Amino acid sequence: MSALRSCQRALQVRAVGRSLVSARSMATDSQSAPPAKATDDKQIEHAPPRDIVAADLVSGAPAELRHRAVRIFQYSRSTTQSGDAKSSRWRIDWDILPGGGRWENPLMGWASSADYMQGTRIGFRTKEDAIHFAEKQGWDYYVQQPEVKVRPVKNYAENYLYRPNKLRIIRTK
Amino acid sequence: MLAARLPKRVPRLPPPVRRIHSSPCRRSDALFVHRDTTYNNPKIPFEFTSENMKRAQEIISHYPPQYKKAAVIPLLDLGQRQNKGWTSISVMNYVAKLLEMPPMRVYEVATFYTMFNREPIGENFVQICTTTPCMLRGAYDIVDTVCNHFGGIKPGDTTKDGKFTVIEVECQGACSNAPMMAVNDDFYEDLTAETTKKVLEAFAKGQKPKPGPQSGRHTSENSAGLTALASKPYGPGEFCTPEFQ
Amino acid sequence: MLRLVSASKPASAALLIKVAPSTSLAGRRTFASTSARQADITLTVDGKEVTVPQGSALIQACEAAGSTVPRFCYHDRLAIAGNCRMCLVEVERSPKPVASCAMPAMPGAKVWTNSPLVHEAREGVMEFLLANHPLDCPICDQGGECDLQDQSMRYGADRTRFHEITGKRAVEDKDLGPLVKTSMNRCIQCTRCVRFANEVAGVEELGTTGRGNDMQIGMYVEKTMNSELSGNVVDLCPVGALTSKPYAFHARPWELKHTDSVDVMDAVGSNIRVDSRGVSVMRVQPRPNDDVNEEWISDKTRYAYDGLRFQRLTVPLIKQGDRFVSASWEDALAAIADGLRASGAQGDEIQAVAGHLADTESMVALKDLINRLGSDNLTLDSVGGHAAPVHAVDVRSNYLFNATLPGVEQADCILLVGTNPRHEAAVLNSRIRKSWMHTTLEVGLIGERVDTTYGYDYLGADAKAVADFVAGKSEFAKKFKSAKKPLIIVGSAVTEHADGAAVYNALAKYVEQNKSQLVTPEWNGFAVLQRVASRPAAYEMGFVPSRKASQTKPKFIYLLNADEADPKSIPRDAFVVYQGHHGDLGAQLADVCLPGAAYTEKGMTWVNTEGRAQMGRAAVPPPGASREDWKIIRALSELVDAPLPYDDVLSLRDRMWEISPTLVRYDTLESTSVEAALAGLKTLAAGTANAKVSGAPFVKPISNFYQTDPISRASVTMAHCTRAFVKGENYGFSELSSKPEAAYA
Repeated sequence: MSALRSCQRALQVRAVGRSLVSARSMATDSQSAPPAKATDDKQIEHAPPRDIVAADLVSGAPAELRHRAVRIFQYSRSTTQSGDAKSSRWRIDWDILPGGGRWENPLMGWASSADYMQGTRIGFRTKEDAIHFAEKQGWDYYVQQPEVKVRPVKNYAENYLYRPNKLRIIRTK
Repeated sequence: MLAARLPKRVPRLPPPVRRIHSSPCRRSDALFVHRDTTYNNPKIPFEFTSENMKRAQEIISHYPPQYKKAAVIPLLDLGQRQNKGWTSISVMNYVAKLLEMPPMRVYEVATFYTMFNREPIGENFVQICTTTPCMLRGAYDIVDTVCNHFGGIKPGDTTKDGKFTVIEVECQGACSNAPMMAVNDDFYEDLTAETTKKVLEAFAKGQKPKPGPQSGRHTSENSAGLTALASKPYGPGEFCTPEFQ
Repeated sequence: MLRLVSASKPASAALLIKVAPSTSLAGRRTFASTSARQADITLTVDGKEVTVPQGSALIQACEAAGSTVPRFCYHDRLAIAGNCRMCLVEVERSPKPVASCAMPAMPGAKVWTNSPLVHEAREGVMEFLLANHPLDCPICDQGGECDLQDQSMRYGADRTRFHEITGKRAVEDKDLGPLVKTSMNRCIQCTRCVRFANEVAGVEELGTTGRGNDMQIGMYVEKTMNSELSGNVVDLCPVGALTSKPYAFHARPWELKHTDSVDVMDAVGSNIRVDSRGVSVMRVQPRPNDDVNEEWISDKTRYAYDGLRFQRLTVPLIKQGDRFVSASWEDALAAIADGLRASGAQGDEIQAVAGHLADTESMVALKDLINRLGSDNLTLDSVGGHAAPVHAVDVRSNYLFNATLPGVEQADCILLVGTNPRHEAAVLNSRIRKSWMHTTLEVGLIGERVDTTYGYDYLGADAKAVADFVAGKSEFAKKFKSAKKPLIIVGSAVTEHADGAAVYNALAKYVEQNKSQLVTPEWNGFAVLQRVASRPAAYEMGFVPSRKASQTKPKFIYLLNADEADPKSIPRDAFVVYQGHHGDLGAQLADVCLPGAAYTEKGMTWVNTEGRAQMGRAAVPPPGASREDWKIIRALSELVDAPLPYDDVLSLRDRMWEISPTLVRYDTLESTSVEAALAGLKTLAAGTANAKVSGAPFVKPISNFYQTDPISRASVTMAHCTRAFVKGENYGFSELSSKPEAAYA
C-alpha cells in the first residue's frame, strides 16, 4: 500500500494513457448532449475532477495491455426481450485480437483463445468511473454512445380515433 | 391432393388435421386455415347478383365512406345467403374487394363468427340448441331423434343426399320455448321427438312447416292455460257510476 | 396520434431523460420531454412521484418511475392491443387490477406495481398463458431469451391445475417463408407479429383467425410473409412461436458473445449486434437506436451472415496462367510491386476502385497510396463511377441525407426521385410508412413504379417528370409547394443515370427557389439517399477522379472490394489486384488476390447516408491468412516505395481527422449550415447547367433486394429468399393454387 501511495505522490500526472477523447474527440457523446442537459445538471451533482494516478505501474498488468484500446459502453437492450436489466451499468471490454487470437480445435471444434482478455469485462456504476479507471490504467479508450431513446406517447384510445379522411391502415387486434 | 379425386359435391370432407378434440369438430370452426379444394378455392368466381348488389350498396351507405369496412358482417351474410348458405373463400375475397379492405381482415371476421359456414352445408341447415335451458327440457333427446332420423349421422355431418346438415349450437334465445332447433332461418320450438320428425319430414318433402311452437302454443304463453287475468277484461264504462256510462 | 415527444427537434435532442433520484427530491424521477407542447401530469408509482406527458399509457409512467412491468403484448413501437393482461397493476380506488398498457396515466393517481393483489392477478394470468403453452423450453430456440420463460420464473406456478383429457391446444405450424420458422403451439396470441406486419412492414396478410382458445396467427390462405422486414417478428415474438429458420438449433443465447457493430448491407448504417460463438458469426440482431434504425433491421442485414462462411478468400492468390495459386503475403505483395513495375503504369494510369463494402480506413489508406504514386484516378465501383459524380463532392449537403433519418418523420410531403427506399434503405422506408400512416403525409414518386408499402402519387418515370414537377404542373407539385416541411429524396441511382445531371440541376434550382421551406436552419429538405455503405465516406474523403484522370486508360487497377465492376471496363493488358473478402466477380478479374476482412472481422469506421460516422467492431477474427484491409495497403505501400505514414489504426484515424473531422466524430451528425447548403446547391446548379436530357426512364437500381453484394450473394439464406420472394417459385404450396381452375368456374 505504501508503494502505491508513494507512486501517487510521485506521479500526479494527468492522462497517462493516450486518450482517444482528446481534442479530436473520438467519442462525441458529449457533443450531442441534449438541451435538457441543463436540468440534468441541476439535479445531479457532478463528482469533482479526480487526479489520475498511474496504477498500471503497480498493478502488475502486462505491458501489452497498454497497446490495446478498450471500449467503454453500456449494454444495449436485447430486442428479443422486453427487460432492460443489464443496460444500466457501464462496462469496459477489449476488442478481439486480430489474427490468431481465436481458433477452433480441429478435432472437437472447441473454441480456444490466446487472448486472456477475451472473456473479461469490468462493470462500473457510471461512465466517469469507467473512464477514470481506464485512464488510471493507461489504456486507450473509446466511449460508445448509449442507446438513443425516443419514446412516443402511446395511448390505447388511439386505436379508436375517428379519422375523417381515407384510412391508411385497417387496424386489427 | 386427395380432394382432387373426390366428386365435386362433397358432403363432408374429413379435416386434413388429426382430430384432437374428443367431441367431433363442428363445421364452422373445424379449421382456421384455408385449404384449396375443388369446391372451395379462390379461382371459383363469385359476384353479387344485381339485386344483392343493390342491397349491399344500401348497407354500405349506412357508414361513413372511409369506414366502409364496417359493413363486412352484413355483406358476408348476404354473400353466404347467395352462396347456398356457406361463405367460400371467393365470397370473402369478393367482400374484401368490395369494401377495399385487405382480404385477411375479412378472413378474420369470417373465422371469428361461427355462423359463417366456411364449408358447404346441406340444403337445410338444422341447428339444435343444447344450451342449459334446452338441455334441461330434453335437447339431447332431440339431437338423438334428429341424428337417428337421418340414419345415424353425427352432429356436424350432412346427410348422404345433401339435404340436411345437423349441428349443435349454443343458445338461440328461445329458452321459453325449449327445446328448440333452428332450420335455416326459422325457429321450431317446443319440440318433442314426434314433432321434430314431422318438421324434418316436411322439409324433406320440400315443404316449409309453420315455424314457432310445435306444441299448439301460440307463442310462449303458459302451456297449462292462463292462471291470472283469466277473465275477460272489462270494457270502457263498465262498473262506472251512471253519469260516466 | 403517434408523435415524437418533440416534434421540432431532431430525435437525439428529444430524449426522454431519466434523472437519477437525488437526495433533495427524494427519489423523484422525471420523464420530461424537452418541448413543452404537451402538458405534463404527475402521479405516484410505488411511492415515487413521476411526471409524464399527458396521454401517456400507465405502463410508460411505471417505466419512467423505474418500476418494471411485465408485458407480452405491449411494445413501444407498436399500437397498444391490451390482450395479454400481464401488465396488470393496482390503482388506488380501482376495484380491480388495471391493465397498465391500455390505461391512460391520470394525474394524481396512486399506482402499485408490486402489491400482493398485483402478484396474484399476474399469477392468474400466467396460469392461463401456460395452460396451453408446451413445456418444450429445452428444444425451443427462444429458451434463454424468452419473456415467458423469465416471467414464469416469477409469476408461474410449478404445476398445473389443468388436467384436460385432450391435452394442450395443438396448432398447425404455418409456413411463412425461408426466414421465419413457426412453432404455433407456443403462441400466446399477443398479436405483436400481426401488428408489426400490419403497421410497420405493411404486410396486411398476417392476421388472426378463429376465436378464443382456438385463435391462430396466420395468413388463412397459404402464403409466405413477403417483406424485407419480416425477420423482426422473430425478435418481437415474446415466446418461441416465431423463431429464425436459418439459426434454428444452431446456438443458445448464453453461448454467444455479443459485439456491437454497424451494418454495411445498405447505407443506413443500422446498428447491429453480432452474436458470435468461437470463430463464427451465429446471428445478427438489431441494436436499438432511435436515431438510425429504431429497433428494426432488414432481412438482408439479419440473415446474410451465413455468406461470411462461404466463398471466402483466405490466402493471397497469384494468377499463373488461367488459375490461381496460393502464395505467401510476401510473395503476393512482391508480385503486385513487380506487376506495377512491369505494367509501366505512370501517373493516372494507376487506378483504384473502391467497392461497396470498403471501409473508411482502407479507402483513406488506398487514396493516400495512389496519390503518393502520382495518380488521381480514384474511381467508385458503380455505373459511371469512373467519372466524378454530378453532384461533386465539395459540399457535404449535396450528397448526404440532410434531413436525417428521424427527420423523415417530420416531413409533411415527400418526393422520391429515382429511388425505391423499400429496397435501398428498408428501415428508412418503415419510417416513411409510419409517418404516412399517422400523419397526413403525402408522397410522390418519380421513377419506376414500385410497391413502397405506402400510397404515393405517381408523377412519371423520367427527367421530364422532374421538369414537370419543378414547373408545378401536377396536383402533387402544388401540394409540395405549400408544404411546411417538404422533403426531396433523390436516389443514388440518379447520379448513375444519363439524365442525372439534368435532374440534379432542376432540383437544385427548385430547392434554391423554395429555400424558405426547403433549406432553413431547422430543416434541410434536400436529401440524397445513398444505397452503398462505403459511398458517403468515399465522397467525404474525395475518393473521386479528377477530370483528366477519368479520361486515362488504366494500366494498373487496384480493386478494393469492387465486385460490381464491368469486366469490359477493365483493359485486358492491365494488371489487376483485387483486395476483398469474397471470391466474387472482382476476384475473377484479378491477377493477384489479397484476402481482406469482412465487416464482422474488423473494427472500422462506416459513414451512413446521413454522414453519421459509426464504429463497427470486430466480432470474430478474419479467416485464414486474411488481414484487416488498411494493414494490407499499408504493407503494400512499403513494397511500392511509397510508405504510408501511419503504423497503427489510431494514427490512421488522425489522418482521417485531417481529411475530414466528421469521419472520426462518431455517432453524431454535423448539419450543414443554411449558407453552405445553399452555396452547395448553387455550385451544383452551375456545374450541371448545360446538361442534356435523354429522356430515358429511371430504373430501380436494386432488382433483387436479397442479393446485392458479395456477402449476400454467397449466402444460402439469401438464395432461398431470392427463390421464394423474387422469383416467386413455388414454395411447397399446394398445386391447386397455381393450376388454372376453369373447370370449376
